[in-house]
Amino acid sequence: MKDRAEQFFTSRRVRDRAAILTLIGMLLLVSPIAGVFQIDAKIGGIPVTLIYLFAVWALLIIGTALLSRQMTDEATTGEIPPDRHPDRRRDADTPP
Amino acid sequence: MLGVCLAYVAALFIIAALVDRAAAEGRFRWLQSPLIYTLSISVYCTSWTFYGAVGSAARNGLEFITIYLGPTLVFVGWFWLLRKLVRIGREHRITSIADLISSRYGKSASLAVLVTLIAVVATTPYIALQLQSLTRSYQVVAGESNAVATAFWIAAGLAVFTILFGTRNLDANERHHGVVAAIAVEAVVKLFALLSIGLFVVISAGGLGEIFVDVPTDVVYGGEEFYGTRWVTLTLLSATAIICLPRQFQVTVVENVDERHLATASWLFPAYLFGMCLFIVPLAIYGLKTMPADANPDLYVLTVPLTAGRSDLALLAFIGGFSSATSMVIVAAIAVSTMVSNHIVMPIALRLLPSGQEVSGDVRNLLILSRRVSIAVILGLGFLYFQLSGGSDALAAIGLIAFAGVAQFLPALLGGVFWRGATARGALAGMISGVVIWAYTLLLPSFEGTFLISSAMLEQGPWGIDVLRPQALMGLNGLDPLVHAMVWSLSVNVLVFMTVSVLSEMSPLERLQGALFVDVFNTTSESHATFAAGAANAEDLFILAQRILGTEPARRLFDEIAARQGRPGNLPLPSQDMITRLEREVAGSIGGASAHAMISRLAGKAPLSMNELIDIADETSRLIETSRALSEKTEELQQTARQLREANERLRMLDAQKDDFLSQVSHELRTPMTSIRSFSEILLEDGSLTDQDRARFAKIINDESIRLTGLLDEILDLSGLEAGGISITREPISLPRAMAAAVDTISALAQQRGVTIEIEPGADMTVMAGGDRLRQVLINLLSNAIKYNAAADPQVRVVAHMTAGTAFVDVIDNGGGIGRDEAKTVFDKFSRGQRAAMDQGAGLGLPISRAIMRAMRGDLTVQFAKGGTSFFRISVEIERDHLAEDAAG
Repeated sequence: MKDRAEQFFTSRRVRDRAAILTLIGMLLLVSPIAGVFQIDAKIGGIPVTLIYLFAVWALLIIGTALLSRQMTDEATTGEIPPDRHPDRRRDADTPP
Repeated sequence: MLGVCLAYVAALFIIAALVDRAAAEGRFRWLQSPLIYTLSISVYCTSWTFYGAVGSAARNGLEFITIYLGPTLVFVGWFWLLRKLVRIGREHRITSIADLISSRYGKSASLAVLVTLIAVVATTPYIALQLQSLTRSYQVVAGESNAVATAFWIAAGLAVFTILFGTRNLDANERHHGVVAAIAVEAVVKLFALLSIGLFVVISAGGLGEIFVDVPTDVVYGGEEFYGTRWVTLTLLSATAIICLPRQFQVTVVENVDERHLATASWLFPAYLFGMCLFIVPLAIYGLKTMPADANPDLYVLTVPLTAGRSDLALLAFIGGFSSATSMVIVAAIAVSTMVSNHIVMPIALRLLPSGQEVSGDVRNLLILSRRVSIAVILGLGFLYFQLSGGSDALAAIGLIAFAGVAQFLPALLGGVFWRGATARGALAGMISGVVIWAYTLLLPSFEGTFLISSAMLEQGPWGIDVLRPQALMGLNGLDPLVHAMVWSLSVNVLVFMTVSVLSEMSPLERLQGALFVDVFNTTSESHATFAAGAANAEDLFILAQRILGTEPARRLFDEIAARQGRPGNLPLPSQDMITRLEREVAGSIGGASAHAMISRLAGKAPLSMNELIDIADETSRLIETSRALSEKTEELQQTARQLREANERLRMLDAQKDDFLSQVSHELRTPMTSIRSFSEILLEDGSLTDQDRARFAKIINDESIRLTGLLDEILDLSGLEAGGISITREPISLPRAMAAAVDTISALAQQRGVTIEIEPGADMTVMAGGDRLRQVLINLLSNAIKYNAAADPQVRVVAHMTAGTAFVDVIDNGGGIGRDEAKTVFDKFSRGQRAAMDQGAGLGLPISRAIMRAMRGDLTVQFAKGGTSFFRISVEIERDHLAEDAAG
């Protein structure tokens, strides 16, 4: 079992990675950088920009999936308290 | 065709009913899975996506994708905003976005009303848009029919469905399991339908690459402004919409059962959008290439398979579109009706009912009724809007206009959860100004001069004032109308919001709520009272809870609170905690503002004052202070206890010593007394004694009496010295002279025993001591050294020497001294050394000597020399003046 300091450090790193991922997403999708790939060319008959957009999108999804797994691992070790509501807990056990 | 629709709706109906029943029985735990949660969020993809995305791609190229990139970015960055919103929603039992904003700003009723009105205004055209696409697609598949009648029946059917499953219970936190399950099924259906059509197109074109043959990339990429302001604005707008749209807030925050589901949705929802968008461009391009020029691109999804003769695929597409539209309408109607009933109907009802009436009137029924009526009214408004706009193409743009409308919530929302300084006035002013500009620059111009703003006004500005032209405000020309409206409305909104916030005062409740919302990860709402404790009646509160929560849940709640207060079986005391808890529970049904108003009315209490707020804020620090004081006190107590224990131990020891001493004293006294008594008895009773014997016996009695008196004197002396009752006057005396006097006194005894005494007086030292007492000690030591010296040639040396400030006199004999073990007890009273075992001495000499020396601020110790021998040493202070002389000389 990791000690608290180590756990805290890891969760900070995961959070930092999530921030970087969001920033990368913004830079690649909503900035003039994205315009670089607006070229009049096709790869395998498919326009380059189309490939570019969907590739960035797919990478974002994969990256977020990996990070969310790391985050939920921490959540079970106490990073995010799952629930502090006594009545909410009751709801979860016996849905009305 | 109608049969298919009815069968599909019936299937959804059965699913929703089954799930509701299963959920009531506690089965179907998988329903609360992250997958269902993610699928329900996909209510974002309406028929505007299903049909409209292809149309948009055919007209404007890739621009449509921004509508899905914005939400993707929001979910990728879920950790900062969405997680916080979900946590706040759960902590504060938020029922809608209006509830969240009003709760944050001190449970402001006016803010709740404003947000609700904006939501209604933005949602109605959006519902009309769904009705339009449903009607059109129905017409395409089933042939021409009466559009208005079709739309009417669709709206009516949806209203019934929504009322049946959306208003079964009141507490938003109890959630709409049946509806969510139906929405999830619809999400799967629409994704499957769109992917099927897409695959069909790709296959019939002979591969993905084939579709783009002979198509210039410009057609795919769209207009000139690619990655320009419109691209950025649309992305921002869609990112805002995924947070602020009432229906998205409903499924993402209110219907969330577990915060961790958000982690899954963070990638699964973007993946869903990815799947929805995958074949949009190929479909659009294929449609453009194969369909006649006058065909509506918005309906390519339907008409492409129809033209290809695949009516089965067309049916699938129709059902997909039907799913997209119905799920949006159902969730939006639930979300908006909750807002309308909680924030508009309830406050009006509260105002109309005389005070105290809410107890007797059945609020619960009123709420459910108002929710049902609201749903019907919202769908009716949507239908009306559809009919008035005549199903024009202008409706297609309404999606973005609605997005821009709800985007006006964003500054208040973000400011509310990240900035403590945001105030209700600021939020209100910002939102109003934003909405006014939005309506003026975007909503009204969208009617193209048919509603409120005329064409002339659009062209030249009102009254011909050019700078007020709706689509070129302040002469801001050359921008796309949407970008123009967004720039103006959002920037003015933000600016007014922040400026007014900075300038306006905050109510105490606002400050409290602000702190709770901004620091939601570090605080819990349960511990914070939003009321000053007052004279609330527990019975009234119970009746109120019963009316709103229902009899059984209210009873359970009150039992639980009573049990926690330690009075099970009774009504709980209306304490501050209890009222706060009740308010929170009631807020879960009717929203924060109404719950607050209702309970404060009933309890007849003054609102929270600033002092009480400070008290609440100080509570934590006071608790910390108390616990620290407590631990300090504990430590103090422990220390005192330890000291007491030590003192007790010493007392016990002294007591034992005293007992010991007494028994030894009596023993010592008994011996001479026994002999005195026996000899005196002989003298009295035996008449035949010779005079010689009489004289001898009398002598013995006399000797024993002297010994006894001496012993008693010693005991008195010792106890006097030890108790400090006898003080010794110190005076400067010459040490060598004192030594000589002592040796003189003892010389007779020494001679008698054949002991030689050597004196080594050393330097002439003047010491501070009582002369007689010092001599007494020296004599005692010398006499011991003489008496108990068993050596063949007994010798005693008296050596004086000094160190800084202290003079020493060592009395050394060659009798071998005492052992180390013996040295420990030699100063105990009545202890006799081994050498003195046969002696008659009482064993008080050494203790008395030591007591004398200590009384003169000196000491008497046993010193151990080489060879296992030991000697006694007395130390005594040297006179100061003398010392100074010495140093000077």
